[in-house]
Amino acid sequence: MRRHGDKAYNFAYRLSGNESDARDLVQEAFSRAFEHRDRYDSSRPFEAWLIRILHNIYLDGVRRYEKSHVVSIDAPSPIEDAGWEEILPSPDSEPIDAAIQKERDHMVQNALKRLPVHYRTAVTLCDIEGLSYERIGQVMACPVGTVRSRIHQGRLMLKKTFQELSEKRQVKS
Amino acid sequence: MKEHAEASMLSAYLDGELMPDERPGIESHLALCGSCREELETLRNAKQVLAGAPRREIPPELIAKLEGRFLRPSWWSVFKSSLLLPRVWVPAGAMGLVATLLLGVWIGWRQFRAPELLPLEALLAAHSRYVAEGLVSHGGLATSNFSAQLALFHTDEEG
Repeated sequence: MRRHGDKAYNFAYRLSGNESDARDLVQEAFSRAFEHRDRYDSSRPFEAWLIRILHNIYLDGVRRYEKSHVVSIDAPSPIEDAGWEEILPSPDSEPIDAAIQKERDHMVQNALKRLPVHYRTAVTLCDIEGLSYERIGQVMACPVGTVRSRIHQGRLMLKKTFQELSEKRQVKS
Repeated sequence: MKEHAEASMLSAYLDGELMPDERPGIESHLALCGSCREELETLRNAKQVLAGAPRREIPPELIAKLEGRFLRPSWWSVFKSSLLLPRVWVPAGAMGLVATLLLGVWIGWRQFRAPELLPLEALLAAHSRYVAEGLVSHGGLATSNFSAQLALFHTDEEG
């Protein structure tokens, strides 16, 4: 239960962008999964089924979520002046300072929020949750080819976001 | 050869999600195309940034709430958790202590009490045998010379 809960919560947090909505999403997803447990195909992983339910709940309420949690592209980020070398995970195994971790987390969250929901979902499931393209296709109810395209486009959008941040940095300096 | 690789194939290559027949073509293209190698590096950086983001764990009170609502605790987990409660282990400990004391008293009493009386069944059986063999008269046990025979009987039994 905890393992599924952690996975669902992390995904919900990256999807919705805040802890309060993540909690609601996870609770609702577990409720619906329990309510419709007779529809669960036990030959498939429970996690993917749960995440699919959660994703659908999010899509159902996406307007409400987006309205209350819009982030402007011009909104200041704690590390908006950072370049790739500063935001990439440290290659050594030394513990990263908590403040830097927090800033990275904030930056990732802001960048994800700027992506349209399908691209956000695809890159989150692939790069954060580590799901295969096939599993992502099951969650998003689309073919693997579409998953491939969304992941690629999502990463390019992230790249663009980071480039904008770098340009801002150059202008300021 | 195409001028550049199909864009989404670079992401799929990065994720190890290309079909087996697609991989050689991309690898040979990357060996020759600096622009695509650069694009691949950018995609790799984006992937690393997301993968390096700290994970959020589900808050303990939320998981407790979900477990309470959707999981029925097994009898063993109920038993284990109940063992941790003072209202269970304090009386149980007191009862165990009392039981240990009572056992000690009983063992002590057995050791220091008077020698055991002879079992009645063995006594009667021996009496019947000695009467049948004519070793003792038909009178009551108290009036016969049974005591001496009985002493012999017990000596035989123990031997």
